Amino acid sequence: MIEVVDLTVEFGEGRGHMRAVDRVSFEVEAGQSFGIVGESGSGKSTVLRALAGLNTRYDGIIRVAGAEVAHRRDKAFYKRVQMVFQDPYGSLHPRQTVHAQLIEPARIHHLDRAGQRVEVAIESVGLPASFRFRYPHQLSGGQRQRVAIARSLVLEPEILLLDEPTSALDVSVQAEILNLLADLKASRRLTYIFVSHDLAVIAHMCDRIAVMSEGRIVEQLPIDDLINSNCTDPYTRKLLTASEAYG
Amino acid sequence: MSVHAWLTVETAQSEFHASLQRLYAGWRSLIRNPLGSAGLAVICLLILVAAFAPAIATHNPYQQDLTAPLLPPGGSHLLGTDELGRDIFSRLIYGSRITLMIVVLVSVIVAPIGLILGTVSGVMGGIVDIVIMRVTDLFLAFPSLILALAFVAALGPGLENAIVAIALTAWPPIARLARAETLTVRGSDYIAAVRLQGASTRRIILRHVVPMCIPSVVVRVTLNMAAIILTAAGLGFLGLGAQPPMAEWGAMVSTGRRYMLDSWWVVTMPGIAILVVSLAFNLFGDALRDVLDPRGE
Amino acid sequence: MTQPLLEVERLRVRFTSDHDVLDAVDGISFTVGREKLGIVGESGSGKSMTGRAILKLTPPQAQVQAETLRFEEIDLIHASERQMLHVRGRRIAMILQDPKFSLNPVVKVGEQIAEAYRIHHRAGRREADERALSMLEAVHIRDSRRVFQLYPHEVSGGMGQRIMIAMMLIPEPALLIADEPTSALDVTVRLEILALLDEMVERRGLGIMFISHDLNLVRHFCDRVLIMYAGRIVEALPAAELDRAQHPYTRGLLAALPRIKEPRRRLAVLARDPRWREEPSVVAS
Repeated sequence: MIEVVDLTVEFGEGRGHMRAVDRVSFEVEAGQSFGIVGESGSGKSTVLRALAGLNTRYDGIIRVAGAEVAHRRDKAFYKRVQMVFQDPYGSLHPRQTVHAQLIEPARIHHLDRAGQRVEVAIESVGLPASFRFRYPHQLSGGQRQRVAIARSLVLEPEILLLDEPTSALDVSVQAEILNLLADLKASRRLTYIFVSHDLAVIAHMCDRIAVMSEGRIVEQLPIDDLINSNCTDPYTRKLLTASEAYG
Repeated sequence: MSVHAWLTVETAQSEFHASLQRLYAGWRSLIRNPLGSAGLAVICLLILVAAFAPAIATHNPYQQDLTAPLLPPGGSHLLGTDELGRDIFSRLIYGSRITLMIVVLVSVIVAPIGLILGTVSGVMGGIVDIVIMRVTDLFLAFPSLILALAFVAALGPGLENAIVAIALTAWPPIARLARAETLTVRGSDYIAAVRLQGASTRRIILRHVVPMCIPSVVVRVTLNMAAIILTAAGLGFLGLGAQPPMAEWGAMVSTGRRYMLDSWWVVTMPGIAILVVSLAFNLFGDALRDVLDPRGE
Repeated sequence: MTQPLLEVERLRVRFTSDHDVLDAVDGISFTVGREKLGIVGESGSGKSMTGRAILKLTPPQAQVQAETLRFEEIDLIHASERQMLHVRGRRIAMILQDPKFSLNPVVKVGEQIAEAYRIHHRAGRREADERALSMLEAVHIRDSRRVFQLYPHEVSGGMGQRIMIAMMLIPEPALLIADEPTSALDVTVRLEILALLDEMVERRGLGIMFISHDLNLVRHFCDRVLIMYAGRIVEALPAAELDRAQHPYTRGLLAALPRIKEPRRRLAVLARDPRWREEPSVVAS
């Protein structure tokens, strides 16, 4: 479904030059949930932003459903691929109601039955219909993240890019959102690329994972191997030990 | 269901209902600010006075009475008369129309120009940003009164030209402000989210960035109104704004200053009017900032 | 048990607005000895406000009331602002989540540590610098002379938190309030910082109040845990017995966590009972 070959992202010039992502390659099959785990500065979010087309200055090839996508993405790409951001307090427009934010993608793509699509999206993330005309400041963190997920679903994409979708939330809310994401994946046959610093969350959500450190993928492995501590890379081991030390 | 209950109920029924609720909440926090409310009251008063000037004025503001020049306040002339025997109170009342016209026209011209230039500059970046901002710098490099003077001198004296000149000098700070605001908004996730929906740059600017900039621009324009009034008065004072016999406050101060020592009221009364109205706009602008500031939410 | 360092009885932090009264902390009682006490709760539980109330660092609109708020021999509730200046930093230190916001960006980190020493001790510049250097070594910063000369933006998150710890411990306080000290750090760095805190507590005989949202972290680090919900302490128990927690909230929090070694299809979702907001706070002393 998604194929990334030798993705490289560089920032800055001269002394400030750095290679944030260094020849990263991976493949994600349709319906799979692929996790990218790493610590801050590992380049995991940069990979996701390049995939989404938020950063068009990258080298390498990105293929979606077999076809290479142009650096400047077209509307058809976004109909297919949507993203959910980390901070639910920053990812919703503070001066627009839930309804206004959800109907916007339908308007941009000139979809019919826009109002109905909004209703369906709100319902599918488990929010009451009465929340439709609320502003973000009238919602809790978990509710906001549900709205953000609903927004990504309006275009009925096949692929969701999830950038630390629960790391700004409380533990109990995180559980609700993770369950919701698991349900949506099953009911809509979605493909996930899930980025997180939290190995336990990645392990819970994903089928396969890539461990990133300093811009590179140091190891890719099926989740069962991780659970059985069947990993070879020393960094993966270190991360696993640290995560388990209080897990 | 009372109007208040309808406006504060937790669940809005429609987009319209939700925005009304928002306005109402803003209104309620605005009137809780005593200084801001005082400013608003003065502004409302100014509008009423301007609207009903003929009914309020006791005399014809242009009617000269050379038998009664420079009469002190009291008697049939509430605030005295000027050197041509015109009733100062009535001239102040009619002058409010000119002041209001200047303020409204300048704001209507300046706010959209500044907003569009600033947001386009901020969102597009690159060469567009550089060109727009250097032009802005060019205008900002001169003190606004001097620049306005130069424009009026080139265009010729008169009220319309004064308005154009003030507008030409007032937009650059607005554009700068809108750009600064845009830069903070541009990198946010909610703008990234609409970009990921495939929205065009135009749509992003108009529907998503501009609404975030409007509050601070409105506040800035309101605070600017005091400066606009003073610039207009300054131009009037120098004889480059409204021309005699128009009852413009600045021009009234200008002509009155010749008689300042013997007949203080001729210059003081319009001076007080300028002071009170600019102060009112300032107070109101300050209160508005507290209400509209998106960071406060 | 020996005399506790800190004694808190019926502490309440109240916010009054036009419409209603909100008790961010609702009459909690606990003591802290020379131990590692964990205070766990989700956002809005009042855990951070508790730490701030002890140092009287609550926002101006908050009212702080308590029957007892005693630190060693000092009655904090009636202490003047002058006395509090002596208590803050010197006797009770506080470490916050992100060192980036707690360090002065334009002063070299070494000088900031030396300054912290000089505020509370009469000491010359050279002596203070020496102290700061040895403190940097004590928090296991190799190459302490080089780090001394760095500005806060030149150090990593983990290093920044070490520097914060050095700065907070140099006046030799008796109690350390750590508010989410490792939440901004990567997991691998987190362990090192916790080990460091552990060592400091052991070696200096400190008491520590460890405020965190992370139940698992606290259970491995602390001796005793208080679980807060809606301004109340709903449960207090030794960290080792957390698995035997009684309160449904505590159990719910534990069950909601994903675990690497115990894969589950769905995570347990916490059902909040409105009655939890009515129950009296548990006395934890």
